[in-house]
Parts: sequence; structure tokens; C-alpha cells
Amino acid sequence: MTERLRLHLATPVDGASLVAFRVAFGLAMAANALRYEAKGWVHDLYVAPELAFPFVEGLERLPGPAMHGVFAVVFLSAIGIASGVAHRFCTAVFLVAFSYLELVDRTTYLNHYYLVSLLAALMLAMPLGRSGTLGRRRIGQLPRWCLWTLRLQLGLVYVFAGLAKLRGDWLLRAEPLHTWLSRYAHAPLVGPLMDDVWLAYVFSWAGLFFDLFVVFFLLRRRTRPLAYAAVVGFHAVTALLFPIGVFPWLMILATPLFFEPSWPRRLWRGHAPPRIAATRRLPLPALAMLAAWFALQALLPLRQHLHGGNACWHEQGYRFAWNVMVMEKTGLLELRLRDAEGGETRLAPRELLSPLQQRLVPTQPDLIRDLARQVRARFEAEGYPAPVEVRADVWASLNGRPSQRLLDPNVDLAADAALPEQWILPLHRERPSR
Amino acid sequence: MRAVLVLVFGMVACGESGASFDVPALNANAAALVEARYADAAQELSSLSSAAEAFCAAPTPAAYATLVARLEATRRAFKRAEVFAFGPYTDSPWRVGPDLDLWPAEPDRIEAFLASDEPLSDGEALERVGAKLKGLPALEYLVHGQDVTRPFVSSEEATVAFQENPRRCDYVRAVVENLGTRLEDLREAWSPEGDHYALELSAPGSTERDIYADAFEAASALFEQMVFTIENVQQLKIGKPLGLRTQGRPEPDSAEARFSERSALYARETLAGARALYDGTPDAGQGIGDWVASRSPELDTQIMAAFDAAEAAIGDLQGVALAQRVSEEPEIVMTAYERLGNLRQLLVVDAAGLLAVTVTFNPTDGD
Repeated sequence: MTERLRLHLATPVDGASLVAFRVAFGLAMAANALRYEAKGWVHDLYVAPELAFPFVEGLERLPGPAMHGVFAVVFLSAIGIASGVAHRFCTAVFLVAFSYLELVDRTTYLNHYYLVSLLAALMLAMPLGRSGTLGRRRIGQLPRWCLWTLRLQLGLVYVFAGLAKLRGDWLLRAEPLHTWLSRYAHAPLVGPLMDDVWLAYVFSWAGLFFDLFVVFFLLRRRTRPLAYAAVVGFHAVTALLFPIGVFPWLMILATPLFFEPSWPRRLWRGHAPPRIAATRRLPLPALAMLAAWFALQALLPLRQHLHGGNACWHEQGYRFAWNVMVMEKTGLLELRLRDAEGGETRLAPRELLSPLQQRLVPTQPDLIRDLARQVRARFEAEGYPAPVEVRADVWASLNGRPSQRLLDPNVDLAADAALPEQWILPLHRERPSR
Repeated sequence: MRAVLVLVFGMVACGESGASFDVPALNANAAALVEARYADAAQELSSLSSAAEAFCAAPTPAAYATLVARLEATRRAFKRAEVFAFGPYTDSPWRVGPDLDLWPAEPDRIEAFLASDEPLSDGEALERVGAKLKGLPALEYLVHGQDVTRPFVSSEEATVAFQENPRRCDYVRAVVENLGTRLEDLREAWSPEGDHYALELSAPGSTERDIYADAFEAASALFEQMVFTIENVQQLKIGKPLGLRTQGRPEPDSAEARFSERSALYARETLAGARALYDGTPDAGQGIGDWVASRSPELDTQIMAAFDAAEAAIGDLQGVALAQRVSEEPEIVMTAYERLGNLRQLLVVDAAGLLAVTVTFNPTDGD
């Protein structure tokens, strides 16, 4: 069985769709980097904030000009990926630079940027620079595992995004879509429609079925045209309605990977290279690495369930789990400091955080804890009698529920010992009272 | 792009529709409220100018008392307009706000300027000086401040001080005149005869400035401005003097109007201004509260009650200088702080979540 799988995965297939994906991916990422600069987001999100919340302790933001430089590196390496020249070098540089931007601050985490890093990591392992590049324009064949690896990765995103929607709020209350769609209630003609809850239910259930099953329809030749039309329609609508940036376009560009591998040749009527039988098998270590990769990809989204309760509320294991657009959460935070001599100080996020951080931090327990620790360090450094205890008075609302305390206000968050379960309060109002 | 969406969905829109809140009406009403608020301020400022002229022409305790009363009325009018401290108030090329009301006053600098031989012939003489030397806080110090540490204890004492230093009256008149000029700049920026900033609210997306993409964005900005104003009242006007930023040590000097001893009054007026945006105008104009009520009447009721409670708690602070309250009766100041906190919680967490407004702007791609 393993032998047959190794042979099957090593069998060459037309590399045209992979080359098309590589070009589209590179151009989309280059455009995204430009967009960040053009809109001033590099400064607003990576340079201006006083505090950062890195995924990895010790990973620090570079000085302002260097952060702009990182985006320049992302842009140039993305262009390199599109061109195919020095593929592995460009992809490695892109992966490091882009992932650095993702890891250096949790407040800028986005599911689709995580996907970009994953796709870049997979592309790094693939021989995508062999053909269809600026230097070697003729497109040859590539091993089948390249195609199926990307398909599987994309498939996991859709399926887990669908599983994440199997929640009461999504299915039974059509939230948060009802709230979000009502944003357009004032629009001419369409306004009243957008404010009607039945439309939110239609969108919610359609979105669920789309995410859960579109991959399977894309894989079948007979249903593929309709499925791709659904992909384009679904993502175009989400792009128009919600500020989700490059993600819809990335998926529209990526899902043709589910087509026949030679599909791009129809566009320029090129001839497919002759079929070549596999002469060797995929090396066992490579197969093992792929298996490990996808095992990890399958397990990571599930870890949120280890914590029990509503993951949208406690957000333990919430990231890297394809919880895409499943919550509208608001919060209000005040930090209460008590120094060793009993002096009490209160701090509002506005004094410490950037506008984006002010919106995100009060709703995410781990960010609040990190903020508490950074505040303790800062105030002790400023001469407040140590140890400074930092507690959080934080209220949050999830998907239209009445507000309730998110954290235990009696726990010193700056102390090291407490486990999340000891300071994150459970969501006690599962059903909204209004 | 959104126009395409509107057309596409417009073609399929049919059947029964829900009762939607009229967001554009809220914005238009807010724009009208801005105009009304600044018109009030201009009227009060005109009366203040007359009172200042009368007092300086014949400094008497009675004229001083009139000047004090007109100054209070003017500041109250400006405080009720504080919720609209955005756009021309804060942004280039207008940025009028600092010249109007950059508080608290810095008495040392004002005294130094008063003692200098810098010209004070008219309002224009103050064009080139820093914002801390003009505007309502400086005016309040000039009218109420005996010296950098204490206010006048009587109208008689104040009148004598003005008589002994005629330059003080010149300064008052110059500040009042400068305030009038700046306020006119502000009104012109909002008015159709000027830069017509009101269009950003009443017809968003139609101007070259393109501040807000559509009516919802404009309404969200109004919501955010209301919340921001209430936060300022809680954090800066109440919490800071109480010492909540300084290890519990009260900071009476940070009170907004410590020389006139009207800090609590002005805090209450500021809150009333925010509430006017929530309630809407008496002539049936839509307010943010109507928007909330269209989603949750229960939440609207809670918010109205929280406004009442906060206003009452700040009202309890009046009668004694806030600088004195924070030292002698910190618990009632704390009550006001906490009531304002409850109000913010209902607005920032419950209402913002319900309406999907972004309380701080979110520029990036969120999912």
C-alpha cells in the first residue's frame, strides 16, 4: 500500500496548474505588500504601537525603517516567486519574512495569513522552479504530490472552516452574520433585505454547506464547473460585504488547483508535455514528512476542544484553527495596578495600545495577560514599588449576548502561576436575554 | 463595488422586509445638532464679549459677577458641543480645537505672558502664541485666578486685581475676540458657505475628502465619538483628579476648571452633550438611542438608566470644588467614576456588539 502510494505521488503530472498557482500566489502577495504600504498599515500596525504581543517570547519588532524593509523583502521575494527565478531562495526568503510579520504580533494574526505561510512552506519543498519560469518558459511535468499536497492543504482549510461553523450561534441564531449584514440595512433597495434575519440564516447555512462540501465537488469532474462558480460567487460576495482583504481573491486564485493539471493550457492553447511514467517512488522520509505535516494540520484545529466551553469566548486554542468569521466580540478593559506599598493605579487601554490593539486586546484573554505582564515590567522599571500586581476588570460580549466578565478581577495576571482556567471565567449566558 | 452588490441584491429583493433603522437620518440629525451647538456657543460667546467689554470699561463687582456668569454659560455651551470635537476641531487644515479649549490651564505660563510686554491689542495679537495662552481655560484663569495656586475669593478681590493691572483686561478681551474668530472658523468649516464638513455626515462618500465611505461608517464614527467623549469624562475629568492614574494620590491640579471650581458642572455638561447625540433632538431627530432601541429596546432602557445614574452621580459632585472633593470625599467621586464605567460598558460592549460598530477603527483585514 505504502509502495503504491509512493509511486502514485511521484508520478509526474502536467505542471501547468502548479505554475499558474505559483505565479498567481506571488503576484497576489506582492500586491498585498504594496497595499500595506499604500494604506499606511505598516506604520500603523508594526511601527507606531508602543507594545507588541509576539507569539514567540523574545521575538521583537525591528526599528521602523527595518519594518518597512521587511515588507520590501516580502514584496521582492513574492515577485521572485511569481517569476520562478531562484524559486527555493525566493520562497524561503518570503516564508521567513512573511512569517516573521505574523509571529511578531498576535494582534495582527489573521487566518488567511497563516494559510499564506503554510502554502509558502509547502511550495518551498516543491521543485516549482524547474519550468514555467522567466528563464525556462516551457512548462514541463511535476510530481503529483506537489498538486495533491496543495489541494489537501486548501481542502483542510475549507473543511475546518465549515466545522467551525457547527456552533449554535451560527446555525440557530445566524450570528454573527445577522449583525454584520444589518450593517447594510440603510443601503438603497437592498437595505431591508439585508436586515431580515432569514437572509442571515440563508447565508449562514449556505456558508456552512459551502465550506464543508465544496472541496468534494471541486474534486469531481462533473460538479467542478458549478463548484468553482460557487467558489467565485461565495468569495466575491464575502469580499464585497466584509473587510477580509486578500483572502477571497487568494482562494479564487488557488482553487483552480482542483482542476485538471493542464487547465491553463486551454488559455493559450499550449500542448501538454508527453506523459512520463514514474521511474522512482517518493522517498520514504518525504512521505513521512508529508504525513506528519498533515497530521499536525488535522490536530491543531482540534486542540481548542481540549479546553471545553465555548472557544469563541475563552479563545484557548482558537488561533491556527480556521475559526473564520464566526464571532463578533466586543470588550472593555481597565487594568488595576497595586504596588507593594498599596498605591493603586488604573489604566485604560487607550493609554497603552494602538487603535487596532485597543479593539482586539480587551476580548482576548491571553493578550490581556501579556499586557498585564508588560505593564508590570514597565511600571516597576519606572519606580513603582515592586512587585506590582495587575488585575483586569474586563467585560465582553459574544455574538450579541449581554456583556459579562471575561476574567476573574481578583487574579493577579502579572503573576506567573495561574492557569488560564483559573482566571478566564466561563460564558455563563449561553443564550442571549434579548 | 458595493454599488454592484446593491444592484444585484436589489434585483432579487422582494417580499416582506424588516423594519430598519434610518442610519442616514441619524447622521443628518447629528450634522444639524453640530450646527445648533456651535450656534449656541456663538451666542453665548457674544454675550460674554459684551460682558467683558462692560466690565473692562467699568470694573465693578457687579460687572465682574456678570462676566463670571457669562463665562460659565459660554463654557457650558462649548462643553455640550465637545462630543463633536472631531473633523475641523482636530484635523488639518482647520485644527481649531486646541485654540478653543486645551485644558487644564497652565497658570505659570499665563502669568508670565501677562507680565510680559507682548502686544495684547486684539484677538489677532494671540494668533501666534501657543494654545495654552488662549482659549477658554486661559480665559477662566484670567477671570478666576488670584495667582497660580488659588482663585479669587470674592468679586471685590477680583475687581481690585483687574483695576490694578489693566493689562489683565486687555488679555481677557483679546482671548474672547480670538475665541470668536476661532469659533467662526469652526462654524465655517462645517457650514455650506464654507468647507461644508457636515456633508461628511449627511452625505458620506460624496465629497472629495471622502472621510467616510458610507452612512454606516459615518454613524459608527459618531458612536465612537460619543463613547470617546464619555471616556474622557470618566478618565480625564473625574479619574485623573481622583488620583486613579497616580497610585491613588489625588491630582487636584488636573481638574478641568479648578480656578472657577466648576469642573463637575462642565463634566456634567460634556456628558449631557454626549447624551444629546444618544437621545436625538427634541424635534423628533433620530439619535443613537433609537438605533439601539431598533435592535434591543431593553438595552436602550438600560443605557438611558445608566446615563441618568451617571448624570446624577456627577451632579452630586457639584457645590464643592472637585479639587476639594477628591481629597475629602473621594468615595463620592469614585461613585461617579464607576457609574460612568457602567455606562461605557453598556455602550462599548453591549451596544457596539449589537450594532457591529467598531469602537476603535480597524484598518486591517479581519477574520
